[in-house]
Amino acid sequence: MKKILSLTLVFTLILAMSVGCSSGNAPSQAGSDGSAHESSPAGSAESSAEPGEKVVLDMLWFADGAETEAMQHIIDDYQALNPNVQINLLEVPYDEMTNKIMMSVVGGEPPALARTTESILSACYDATLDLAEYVDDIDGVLAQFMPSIHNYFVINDKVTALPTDVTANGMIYNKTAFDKAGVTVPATPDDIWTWDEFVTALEKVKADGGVQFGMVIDNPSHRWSTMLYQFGGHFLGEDGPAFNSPETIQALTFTKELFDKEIVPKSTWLGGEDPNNMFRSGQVAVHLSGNWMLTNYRDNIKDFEWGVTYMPKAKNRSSTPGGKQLAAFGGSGVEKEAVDFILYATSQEANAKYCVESLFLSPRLDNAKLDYPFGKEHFEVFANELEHTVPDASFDWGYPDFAGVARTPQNEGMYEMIAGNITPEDHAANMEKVLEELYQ
Amino acid sequence: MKKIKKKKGITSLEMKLFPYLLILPNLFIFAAFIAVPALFGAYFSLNKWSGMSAPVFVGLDNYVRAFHDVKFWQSFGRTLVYVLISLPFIMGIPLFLANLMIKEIRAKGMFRALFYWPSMISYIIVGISFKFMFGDNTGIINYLLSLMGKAKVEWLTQGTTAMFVVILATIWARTGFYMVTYISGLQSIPLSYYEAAEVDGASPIQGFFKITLPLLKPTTFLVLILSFIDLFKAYGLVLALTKGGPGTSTKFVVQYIYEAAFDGKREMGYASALSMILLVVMATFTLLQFKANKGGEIE
Amino acid sequence: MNMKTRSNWLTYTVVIFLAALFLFPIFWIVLSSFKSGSEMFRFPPTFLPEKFTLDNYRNAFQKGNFGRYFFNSALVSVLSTILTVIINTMAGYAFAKYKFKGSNVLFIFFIATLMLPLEVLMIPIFHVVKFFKMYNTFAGIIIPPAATPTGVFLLRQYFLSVPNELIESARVDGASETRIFFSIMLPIAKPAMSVLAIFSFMWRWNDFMWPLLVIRDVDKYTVQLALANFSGQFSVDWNSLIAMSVVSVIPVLIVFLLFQKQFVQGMVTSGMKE
Repeated sequence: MKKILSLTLVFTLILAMSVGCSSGNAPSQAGSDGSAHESSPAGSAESSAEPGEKVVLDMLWFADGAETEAMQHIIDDYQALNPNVQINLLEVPYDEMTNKIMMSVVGGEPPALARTTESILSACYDATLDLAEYVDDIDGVLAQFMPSIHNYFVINDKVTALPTDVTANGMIYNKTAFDKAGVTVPATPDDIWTWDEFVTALEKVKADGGVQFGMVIDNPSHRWSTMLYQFGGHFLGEDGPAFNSPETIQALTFTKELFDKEIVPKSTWLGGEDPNNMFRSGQVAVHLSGNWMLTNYRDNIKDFEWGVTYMPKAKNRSSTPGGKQLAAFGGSGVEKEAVDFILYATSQEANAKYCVESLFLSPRLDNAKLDYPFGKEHFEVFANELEHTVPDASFDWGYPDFAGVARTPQNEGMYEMIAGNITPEDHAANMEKVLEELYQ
Repeated sequence: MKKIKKKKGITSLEMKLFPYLLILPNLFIFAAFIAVPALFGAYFSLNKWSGMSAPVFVGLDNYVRAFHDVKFWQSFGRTLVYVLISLPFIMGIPLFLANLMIKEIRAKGMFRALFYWPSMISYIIVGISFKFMFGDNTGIINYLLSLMGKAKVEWLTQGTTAMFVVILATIWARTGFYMVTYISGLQSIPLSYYEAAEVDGASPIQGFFKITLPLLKPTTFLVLILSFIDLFKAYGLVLALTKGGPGTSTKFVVQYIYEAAFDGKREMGYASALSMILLVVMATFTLLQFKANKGGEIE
Repeated sequence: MNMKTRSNWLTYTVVIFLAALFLFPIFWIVLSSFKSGSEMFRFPPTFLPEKFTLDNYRNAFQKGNFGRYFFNSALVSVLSTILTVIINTMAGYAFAKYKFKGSNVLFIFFIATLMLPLEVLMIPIFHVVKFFKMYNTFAGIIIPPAATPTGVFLLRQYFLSVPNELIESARVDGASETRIFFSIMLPIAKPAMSVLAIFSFMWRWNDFMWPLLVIRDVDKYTVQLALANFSGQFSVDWNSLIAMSVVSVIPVLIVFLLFQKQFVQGMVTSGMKE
């Protein structure tokens, strides 16, 4: 038993050493201890052991697919141009991004850079740099990006980030099922369906196309809001919440009917069945999702043909834009370099390369037409949806804290409504109350 | 059994100090990384605080609000229902299995590993695999039902059946853990007791009730407390399986706290207050159980 | 003799039936991991893979330096388990066999903190981790979670059933407290320590919160951190996730098989005999 005792000792020593070492021997990693923190971005860190030490930028990153590699290529290009800079991609699960950013910032270990979405930014915009303070011609830079998405990163007049891609909600359809049922999809924006026509078409595909369901919609919040905007409703207005409107109630009632007629399966929103998997299984005619789904379906659907078509209209045509941005954080000690990289990564050439490789839509006006290696015709449909998007969409989703505050009550309220426990009017009124708190 | 009586004389100092030395390393780590942060949590519970912002002292406001928070107490009640239904299974099935798994059977190691296997899988994977299996339209369970000519069941779309699936997944995922715990307890029972009973002509079943159960009391008590806490803070599995749905049918108290802390306005102060309430409830429960069972000591 | 055969037969039937029930979801996960992306969610579902493929495994291993992550996880889990078993056994013994000031209150507080949702305390914990200079070190995921209340509880309950007479007679023989603990109690506690080793390895291997909180650099990632990255904003890479989760169970399974053998040997013989 002396063995155990001596083992204890040995391990205590090892542990003590590993603690000791790690706090002292990390000269190449800025921000790993207090001293490297204060070091100036010019690379004159006092702890620098080797000459010509690199400036290291940590970038918190999350990914759905191919974009990690694409971003790594952009980083490689940038590092070739700036040999004194090293950028580390630190992958974090999307669900933990906001937490990780918050913890690092509050704990005094802010990352140099982070990939964000509008909902991450709406929680962390306090901690980001104001890019206007680092870029002379900020208005000129902003003017390069689609005006409709400025709301997502210019928050309370602060330029918190710059966009790397923009997403469009849209519809992917099971071509095999549509063909089998003899239903054609609109070929041009001029002959798109109304929602009533669309439902008729879905019913036909459901009956004759060999599918169980007409349609799946990703979620009752962001993705469903596309329908809300098409029906002329919206969540917020300049002066306060605007959810409790006849347009909203019409959209809600229409949605409920889709579920009641079993065009949309209840199991998706209520039972957690994954719409993506359901579409993949070939049991659904249409998936209301967005352009990010293309790579997933390209890689995983082999049993049937699919395509992208225009969403139907009611009062309006509309999509709901989204997207990702790059933000930099104060206190990292490498703010200048971080901002410089953001400008590089969002510049025309680099951004085009990134978007083509990741199969993303570019937020830059001068990258509207890109030469995608796959699904060029799909991207044209998505781009067209974005062009016909109501301004309310980005106003809602760019509003600080909106995404976080609205999600849970919206999801739960929609459930109650579809389950028949409350009426669309009840839900509209309940949500209105939730949104009122947001304005206070 | 009583605690050891103190000895007189020179060794008594050693006897006094030794237990403190024994708990010191554990206590130090615990104090530094759990107790100190918990104290901060207690302080934050008296503040309005989003994590990013500077805390603003609001006294007992958060507790007053928690007291009137209907949704919190609803999720609390829902959790209690889930705990009380699952608890007998979580305590009984592993005990049954543990008794089988200490018998002289072939490939014992393999069977043990098999029953323990689900405990090794992370909650996320348990949750999603049950979600896939019980999916209304694409799940294999409903498919098998349809092959047998039965109508499909809306497993996760209806509140009651969703709760059933959650409980089933919990039992599946936790049984192995408590089975192993029971096995360790069963091994501490001296074999001579059984031999004596056998001489007296007692059947195995009598042996189980007369010897095993009373002597297993420390372990049964352990499993009771651990599984109660474990069930009460169910979160990871439920999140992956139902996300608390449909609606709020399976939203338990810890999920409610996380939503307060990380969704919406990120009310960390309020979430801390709710956590403290849980801590007090749990401490009271443990204390009462402790008193009632004398800490699980064998009488 | 006849009764014994029948009861054996019954035991096997029950065990095999229950094992089949338990195995079903595992079987399903493992089989799915060998299906192609288009087959995994096909309807009607296939049970056996129509076309057996290792693509999911191949792709998953390419999505990060998994060799490194497995090494990190193993290193952290082994060291943390050793630490846990040592300090929890010590504490468990103290709580079981000595009555000292505040022992009950301390113990109950210990147990009750299990209820705290640690994520809510992430920010204070982060500060403590930084205070001890453990941020972005392995020590930060080895030491802080080692003081498990569950482990202390487990050992305490085990020691409770060890007869006090053993200790008292050793004392009469003049053995010191230290000697009693090391030469008499530890060998007896071997089964419980094996159980704790199994549990602790599993906890640390599957741990997500501590690595997320403590680790920054990619080359220090653990398997669970890397696994979580298969879930993106819009979609989950099920193929890779399922494949990698099958692989990631293997080390835990090996540890279980090793240690459960240990506690078979430590046991005198089976508890319930005909």
